[in-house]
Amino acid sequence: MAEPSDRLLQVRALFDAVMERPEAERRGWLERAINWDADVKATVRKLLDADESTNSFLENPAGLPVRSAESGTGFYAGQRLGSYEVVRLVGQGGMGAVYEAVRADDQYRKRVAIKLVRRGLDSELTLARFRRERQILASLEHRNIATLLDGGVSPDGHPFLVMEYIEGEPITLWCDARTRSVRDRILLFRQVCAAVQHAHKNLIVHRDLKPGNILVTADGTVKLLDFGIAKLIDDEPGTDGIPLTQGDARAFTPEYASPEQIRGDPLTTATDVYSLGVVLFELMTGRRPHVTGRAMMDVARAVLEEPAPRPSSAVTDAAAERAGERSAGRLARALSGELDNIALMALRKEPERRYGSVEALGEDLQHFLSGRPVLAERDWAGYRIRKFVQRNTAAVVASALVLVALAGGAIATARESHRLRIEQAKALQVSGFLQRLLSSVQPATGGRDVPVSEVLAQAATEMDSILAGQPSVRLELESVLGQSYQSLGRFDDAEGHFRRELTLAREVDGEKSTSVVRGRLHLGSLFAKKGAIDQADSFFVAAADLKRSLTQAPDLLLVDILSARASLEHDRGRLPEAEALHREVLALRRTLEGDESDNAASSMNNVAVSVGEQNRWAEADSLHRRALAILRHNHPEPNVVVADAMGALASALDYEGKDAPADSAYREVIALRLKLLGAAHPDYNWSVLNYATFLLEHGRLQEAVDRTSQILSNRGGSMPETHPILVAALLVHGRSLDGLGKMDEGGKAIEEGVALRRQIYPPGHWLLGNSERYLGEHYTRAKRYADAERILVHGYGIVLAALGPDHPRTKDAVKALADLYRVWGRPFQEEEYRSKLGKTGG
Amino acid sequence: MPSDPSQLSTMTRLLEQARHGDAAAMDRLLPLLYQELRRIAELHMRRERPDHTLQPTALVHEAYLRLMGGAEVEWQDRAHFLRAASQTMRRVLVDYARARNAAKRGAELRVTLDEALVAQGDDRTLDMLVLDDALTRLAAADPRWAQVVELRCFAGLDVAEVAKVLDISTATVTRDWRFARAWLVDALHPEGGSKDDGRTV
Repeated sequence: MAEPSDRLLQVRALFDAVMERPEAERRGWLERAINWDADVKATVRKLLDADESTNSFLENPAGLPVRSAESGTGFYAGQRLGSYEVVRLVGQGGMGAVYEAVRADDQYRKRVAIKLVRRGLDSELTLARFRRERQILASLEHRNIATLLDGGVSPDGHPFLVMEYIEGEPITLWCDARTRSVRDRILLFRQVCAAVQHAHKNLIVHRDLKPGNILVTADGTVKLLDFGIAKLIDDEPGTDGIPLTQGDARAFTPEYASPEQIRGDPLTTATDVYSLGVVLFELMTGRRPHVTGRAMMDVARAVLEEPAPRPSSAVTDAAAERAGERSAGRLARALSGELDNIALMALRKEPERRYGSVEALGEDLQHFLSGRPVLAERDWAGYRIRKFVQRNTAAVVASALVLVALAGGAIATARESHRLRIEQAKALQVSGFLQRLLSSVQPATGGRDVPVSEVLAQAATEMDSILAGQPSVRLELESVLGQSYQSLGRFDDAEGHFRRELTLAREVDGEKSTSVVRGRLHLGSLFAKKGAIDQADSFFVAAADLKRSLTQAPDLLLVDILSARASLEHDRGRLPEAEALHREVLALRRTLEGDESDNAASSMNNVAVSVGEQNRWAEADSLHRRALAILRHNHPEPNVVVADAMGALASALDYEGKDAPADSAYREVIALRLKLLGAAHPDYNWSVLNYATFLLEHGRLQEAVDRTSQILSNRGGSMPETHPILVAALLVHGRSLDGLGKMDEGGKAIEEGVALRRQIYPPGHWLLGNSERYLGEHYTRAKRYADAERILVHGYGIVLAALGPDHPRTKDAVKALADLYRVWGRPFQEEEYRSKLGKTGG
Repeated sequence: MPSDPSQLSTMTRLLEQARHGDAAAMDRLLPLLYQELRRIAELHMRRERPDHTLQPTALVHEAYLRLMGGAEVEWQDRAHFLRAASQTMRRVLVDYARARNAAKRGAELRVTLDEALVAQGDDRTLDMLVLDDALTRLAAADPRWAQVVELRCFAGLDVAEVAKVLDISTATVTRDWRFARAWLVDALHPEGGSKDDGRTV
């Protein structure tokens, strides 16, 4: 007698009960549920499938809301916006609404499109930015780009942009409706490339390229809409740097978004290359590379993880028909090979492995059209590199970071377009060289996994033959290799490369050149890292002298030198000098890069650290917070520079003794870095270690051990065991175990840490003295007093020579000796060391 | 063009009367809505959408703009409007689909409930008649469930707004929506998988 609707009520009740369980338990719980009809249970089982697959239209219907009045962007028809009269609503999206309008004071009533941004402007500052961006966009003139005519702010605070009204169809539909051949489609697509390329030369990235933004007019002209709008809208700061949730639609379309866009990484022109790859794929095959009709999250995951299929394998008869081919097989043959390779090269997951520019993509398509060989090759390397990266994450990340920094840096710093292209070309050659290496190493070693150090070594040996006659590219590569080795802690190898960089700089650009300045700066920084302070200093002085003789006006290179010197003074414990230099850097950065720039904020952080170590805590605290506020404002979404600044704040709070806020700041940094960088990244591990040290110092020993064990699990796998983070972690690990009474285990870890540090750092480095103190403290606890005395005296000698008598680490060494003599029962000697502590204590 | 002033006042007046329990006002209001939605849809079909894709939420929105213009409207009246409009929109779409099916087989009506301004494929479109039938079965058990779907899909409201319009808690809306969504997904795609990409028009 079960009426259908009655049964539905039962289904609903059971479904709700199941959904209350945590996701992992739902199925099991459902199977165990008794008192329910079998067919009710069966229905709920199906509903669970449906809930999990949640494909299709119902996933995200909230995108097009009739908004309630207070957030309204939809109440303008018939009203005026600036000098335009709104005629009708054309459409709505997550970002806002689009209206057709006419210029009210025009005789011939020109039609325009007005895009009204849903989010309001919340302060004068963002309004200023909106105006600035608008100006940049308005300067973008190209026959294939819809012109930005005007803009303003509606009476209720919503920014709007006025654009040329384009009567056209999305490029995909346009081609399908006219049964355009593959060749015609590529010709049309070349127009798209030309337009995007023009924008890139003006340093504008589109960030939301998709067929809906690429219209074709009746006469076959391509018109791109919404250039740079995504940035304009995305950059509106959120309330507190909290990422926008899924419902709060971000200004891009997942199916066309690049992996880095989905991750929330900084975006470069490479992101547009990727989206163009998706559009090209769709033009050729009638579908997108990653099957859609899935939930947003699934699309995002596919973009991040699944390799794109070869277009030739993705065609259907229907798509063939629309392209005027008789069958899917024929279309597949037309695409197979070069067009496959071109699309897949644009669609590579790693931005640096795609075409270096939209221009290169467009040119390669032209090569194809004119029957010349194309540059894109089948991506044999892709799989290998992915495997390689999985196994060697930390080390690869380090060198990949350098690479990306190089490529990205060229784009970020180049302000003139011709320089941009030269730098990009160079960066492309360098990264291309390393890519070839990564793929060539594999077969030679018979398929085993290759440590990154081997790749770098091979790079060094092959450089001569491959890059003969290209000294300027070689110069760049030596610098990259040096930095890679330095980040791996392989200082001797790094030195070799930096020295060759310096020699090449002299050959290529002459003795009096900025590349020589840069070479000296690199060597100086390396020596500073090695603890060879005097040598570092002399390189910095030489770099600074040469720099001054080249130009008087302060520039960013000078800033780099000053800031390297500031760090050096800091390492030496000459804190007032360090502070003065950091302040100079800060002032210069403010002038050169703007008060609110990321780099100015980072410099402010550095000032804060040196101020804090001079015990001026309140001042340090407010500097840290100001820096953090600027960075959060610049990066409303989670970002590494924000994590860095927060890390600095955590340490400051820690030193200051504000334990609870320090604790939560540390945790926040860890969570942020984990999200942004992943668990194998050195920076993430450093933040875990900082927290572990904090825990150790607050007697939370078991928690400390948990954290250090986590870091040490990277040993033997992705990181070489001499990696500085692992060695530092070993020492904290050992000291925590010691504190827990596990003296044997603790002692072993500390001894190993000290031995490894002796391998890494040159004699006399203060870190050696400092780790000897840890070992001495262990011997003291183990009642091996004579051993303790020997090593503590030795360590004290090192830090005293390296850092001077007043440095906090020197005082730590003195205190360790005093403590030893106290428990050893030697009051006379204890008093001698205690008196040193009291003398300058503060 | 915005609506003419006399119609505007009619609309606000009817809404106000309906709010105060005047059933006759509601009876007069619905045809007006139907007519307006129909007219807008027609415009879209003829001019804007060569591929015959309709975006219901945009249509409802536009109807609101036309019928209410810039008038200051009480919240309850807006809620009333949205409820009526989302139901009416559903009817308009069903009538369209029927008429199309009767006329010729090939050109079926596609409805997109997605935010994209321009349809980019058929993944997100669905058969209106099947959806309508499923919603009717859903409403037989509890009319509120279907209302939640209507307000979300045909008026584009988010959970908080639906809660306000129906005067129930957001938790209830969330649960209703989750259930209804799963149930509809199952009803519309019994095999669970997504449709073949190649199938078009």
